[in-house]
Amino acid sequence: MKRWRIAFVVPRYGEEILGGAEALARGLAEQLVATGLADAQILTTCVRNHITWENELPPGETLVNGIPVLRFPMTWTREDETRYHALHWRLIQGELLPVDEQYEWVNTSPHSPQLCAYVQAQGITFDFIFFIPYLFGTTYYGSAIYPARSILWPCLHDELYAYLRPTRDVYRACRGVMFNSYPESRLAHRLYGAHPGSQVVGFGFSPIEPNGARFREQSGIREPFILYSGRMEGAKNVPLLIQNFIAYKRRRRKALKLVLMGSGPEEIPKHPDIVRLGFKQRQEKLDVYAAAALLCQPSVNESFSIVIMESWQCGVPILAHANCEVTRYHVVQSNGGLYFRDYEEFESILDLLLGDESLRQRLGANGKKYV
Amino acid sequence: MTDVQQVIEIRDPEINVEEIMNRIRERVRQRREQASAQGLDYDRLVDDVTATTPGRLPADLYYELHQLCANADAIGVSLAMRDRRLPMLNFLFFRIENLLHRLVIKYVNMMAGRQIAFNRSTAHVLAGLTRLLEKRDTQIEALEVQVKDLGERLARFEQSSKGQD
Repeated sequence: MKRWRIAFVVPRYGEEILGGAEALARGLAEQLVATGLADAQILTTCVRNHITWENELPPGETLVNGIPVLRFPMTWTREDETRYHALHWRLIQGELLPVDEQYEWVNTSPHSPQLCAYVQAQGITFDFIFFIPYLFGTTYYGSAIYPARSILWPCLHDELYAYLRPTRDVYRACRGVMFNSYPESRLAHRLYGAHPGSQVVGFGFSPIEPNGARFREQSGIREPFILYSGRMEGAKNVPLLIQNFIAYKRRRRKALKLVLMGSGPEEIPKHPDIVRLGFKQRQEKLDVYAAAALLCQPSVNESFSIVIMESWQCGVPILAHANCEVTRYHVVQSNGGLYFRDYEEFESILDLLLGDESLRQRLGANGKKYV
Repeated sequence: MTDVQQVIEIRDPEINVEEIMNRIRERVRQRREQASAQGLDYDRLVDDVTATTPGRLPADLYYELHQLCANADAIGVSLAMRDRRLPMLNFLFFRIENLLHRLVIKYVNMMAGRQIAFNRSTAHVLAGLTRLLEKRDTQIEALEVQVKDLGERLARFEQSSKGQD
C-alpha cells in the first residue's frame, strides 16, 4: 500500500499551544504516522501567541511527539501592521470593504514568506498539503502555490471573516475541503456553494483511561463542579459563563464550584468557588473531565469542539450554547447534553442536572456512544 | 450525507434533549407568567444575573448587557419553504422558489454577518464603559471617604485653634 507524504501548514504548532485547529492538525498528523498510513511533516511559524504574533520559538526543524516540525519566522512589518489594523477596524465596524481592500487586508496580515518559499520549492514532493485553519496568511498564500495538492481544513465559523471574498476564493481553489461537522459543511455550502472535493471528516479519538478520584484527591475539591476547558478568552464566551455562575451561586447557594482549565488573557475575578487550574497535560486533563458534574462549552464560535468529545469520552454531559449551531447539533444528535440561550435557561438546566445524577449519567453515556 | 447523519444519531428511549429543552422553556415561561400575575417584573427577579459587583450600578444594566452579549449573533436565517403540491409544475416551481429563497438568504446573511460584528463591537464597548463606570464609582466613593475624613480633621483643628485663642 502506498505510504502517502503529507504536509500540514498551520500558523502555530506545539503540545502547549491551545487551539482547536492546532489540536486537530496535531492529532491527525500523529495518527497518520502511528498507523503507518503516511509520513507527516508540519510546516509552521515561530509564533506561540496568536494575538501578538511575535516570533518566540527558534526557527528550524524539531520533533514534536515524533513528528518533524519545520518552523519559519513570521513577518509583519510596522507598515503592514498599521494598515492591517486600519482595515480590520473598518471591517469590524460593519463596513463592506471593496474586494481589493479585502485582499489588501489579507496581504497585510501576519504571514511567513519563508514558509511559502519552502512550499514553493518542496510542495511538489508531497502528495497533499493540508492548510488549517482558513483565517490566516499561511493558508491564504500557501494554498495558492499548489492548489491541486492543497486540502483546505477551514474550521469555519459563522463570523464576519467567513463572508470575505478571499475566503471564498481559497475555498473554491483548493482541490479538497475537509469539514469537522455537518453544520460547518452546511455553512460553507450556503456561503460559497458546493465543492466537488468536500467531505465531512470529523475527528477520531483514542481510548482513554480517566481517573476522576485522582484529581479530587490531588486538588482537594470535594464539591460537584462545572468544568470549562479551553482558551480563556472573551471570544470563547468565558466571561458569560463566569457571570452566569456567580449569579447562580448568589441565587441558589448550593455547594458548587466552577473549574477553569486552560490558559489565556481573560482576567478571572476572585471568587471563593472559582478555581483556575491553568494548562494541564493530557492525563491530568482527562482526570479533571472525569471528576466534573458537567462540562460547559459557552463558545458560539466552534466548528467541532474537541473538548466536548473529550468530556463525553469521560461520560460527562455537556451544557452548550444555543447560539452555536455546531455544539447544539452535537448535543441534539447525541442526546448527550443540553443547551442554554440565556441565564434563565442556564439556571433551570443546572437545577435539573445537579439534582438528577441518573440523568447526568444517561446523558454522559449517550455522549460517549456518539464519540 | 443524510444516511451518515442517521448513523451517528444516538437514540435513547428515555431521553430526548429537545423534549427536555421544551419542558425547561415551558417552566421559564410559567415562572414569568406567575411573576407577572403577582405584578412583578420577572427580569428584576433575576436582576443580579450578571452583577459581579452587586449594587454598584443598576442591576437592569447588567442584565441587558448580558442579553446583548448572549444574543449579539443570533440573527442569521435559514431556508424555510412550505411544502406545495402543484400538479405538473411542482418540480419546476420548487426549483425556482428554492433558488429565490437561497438568493435572498445569501444577502440577508451577508448583512447579518456585518450586523453581528457591529453588535459584538457594541457589546464590547458597552462592557468596557460599564467597567469604567464601576471603577469611577469606586474612586468617587474613596474620595468621598477622604473628603469626610479631611472635613472631620479640619473641624477638630478649628476647634483646637479656638481653644488656644
